[in-house]
Amino acid sequence: MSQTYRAVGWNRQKRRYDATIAAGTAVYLGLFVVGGSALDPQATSETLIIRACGTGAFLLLHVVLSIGPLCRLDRRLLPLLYNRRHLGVTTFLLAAVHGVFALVQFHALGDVNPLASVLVTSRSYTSPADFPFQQLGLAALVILFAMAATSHDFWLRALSAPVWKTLHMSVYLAYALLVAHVSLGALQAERSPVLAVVLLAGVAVVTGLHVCAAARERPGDVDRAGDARGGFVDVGAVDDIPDGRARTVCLTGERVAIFKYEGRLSAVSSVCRHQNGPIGEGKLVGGCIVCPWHGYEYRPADGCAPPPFTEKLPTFAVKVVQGRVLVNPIPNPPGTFVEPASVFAEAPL
Amino acid sequence: MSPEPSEFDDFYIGYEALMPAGFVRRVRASVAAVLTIAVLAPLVLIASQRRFASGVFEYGRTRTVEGRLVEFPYPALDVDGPAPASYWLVGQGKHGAAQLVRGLDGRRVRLRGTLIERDGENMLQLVPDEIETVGAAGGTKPSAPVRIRTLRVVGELVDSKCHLGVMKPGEGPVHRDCAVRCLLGAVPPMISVRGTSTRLALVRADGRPFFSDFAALAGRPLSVRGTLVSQGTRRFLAADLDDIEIIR
Repeated sequence: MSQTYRAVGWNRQKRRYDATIAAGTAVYLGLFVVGGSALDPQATSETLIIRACGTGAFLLLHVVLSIGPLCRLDRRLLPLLYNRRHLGVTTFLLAAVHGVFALVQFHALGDVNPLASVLVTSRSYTSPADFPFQQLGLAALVILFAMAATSHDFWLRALSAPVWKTLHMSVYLAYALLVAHVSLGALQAERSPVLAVVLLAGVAVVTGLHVCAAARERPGDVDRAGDARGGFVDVGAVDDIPDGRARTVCLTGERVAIFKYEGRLSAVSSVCRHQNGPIGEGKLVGGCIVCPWHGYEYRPADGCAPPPFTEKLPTFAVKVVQGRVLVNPIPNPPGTFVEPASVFAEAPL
Repeated sequence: MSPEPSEFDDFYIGYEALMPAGFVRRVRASVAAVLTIAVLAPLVLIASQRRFASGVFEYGRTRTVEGRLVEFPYPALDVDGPAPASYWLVGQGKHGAAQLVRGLDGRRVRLRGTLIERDGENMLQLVPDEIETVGAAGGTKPSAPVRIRTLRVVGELVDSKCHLGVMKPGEGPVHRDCAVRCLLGAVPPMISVRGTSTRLALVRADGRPFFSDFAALAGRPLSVRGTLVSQGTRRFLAADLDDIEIIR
């Protein structure tokens, strides 16, 4: 969390993260270009650069898309997610080099503007073999640019969390466009089945991880609001919630995190205002709930970030009856103080 | 009573300097896996891609050549002497040379250009304003077109400039848009005959040049029925649009 603008809030882990990205990218591009030249002396450097950057960006996008579900399956991988935007920006930069080189190579120095050439040269949309695949790549590049340009938290505040999140969810549209871009472009020109197998494997990994993560979370997403009695829902035993941690349940379509701390219980929305991170998987540290994704903090009783920060979560009324935790499924406005329920004092039914 | 803390004891945020051991092990294993892919993937991809064509484009180098200029159907330069040769002529970028050599048909010229060559087929990308007339029209007579036979060929419509060496690949679906723009820019069209290294410049049945008429067919497999014509060392396939069909 930062209250003032800083381009990058550097720390030790972030430096190591970026150094790893730089090293991996350099190794990939170097091996592709140098190895490609060595294997085929007739190869031209501009074509190798186009292919190295294009495949590198596509591979990196697979990594970016896999991190989310991997962290859902094993939260020990969360450090990979913390700086994921750096991977995303690197993906865009590689894609931009690929796009600019391809634009110059295939469309510049002709009779029309190169960008116009991409849009008007091929219009055979009915034939897979003749489909103007470069337009798909251009559309994906525009999306990746929008995401990279707004990746800083400055834009998260400026656009608001829902708009920002919606914009960044378009990465899946960009991925679909790129799968089509590769399938209708490079794969039409190449003869080796290896490339098709690699593409299919990549799609299978990304899809499979998302399906597995969704299947794992599905039981927790069963809406319990219908179980309400007297306006409250029984979400489980007090003893089932570890100290300093939360139990997450779905009430009226929203995930609610019920935290136990210092003999008390408070319930807040489990959706972080930063990037929709799972607050319910966070921990009480220094009296504040800490989101496991990027460390955003909220007070459990009123859902407010400590000053000078301004983020607020909806809160929920909680009470304890006969050792059971009861939550009112109707959310209070964000930042509303709710008296924490004591785990020792029994509320009337 | 609360659940055993082991399930929850590790908690780590990315800005903290020290990472719990369980996180370190898992992150290291994941990074090692990704870096292994970063090493193996390019090797697999470059080994699987099609081999590059043998064409040459002497980018950044120019040479001066003297010969007799042929303006029609497509600009060319015939060099006589002890080592006779013929060069197709094209302009810079995605442009032919028709504008650059207008009115010079049959004249002896000295020009400067960048060599493009593939399988013995020569081309020069002309340096503008570096075409100098060194003699009047006349002298050696140009070779007359000779009709050899009718034939049907299957191949791909390519722009000769990219196909002969400026681009790799200079054919196929990835290069299609570039070929369309080159043909629209009056770069001579050629049929690259499937399964061979044969290339035939495509002209109309009456010998006039093709340009934008069928640019949209570039990069597609075609069947062309026409007449094989030779003019000196240059070979043409003379056909009408009706003789060209897209095949799959």
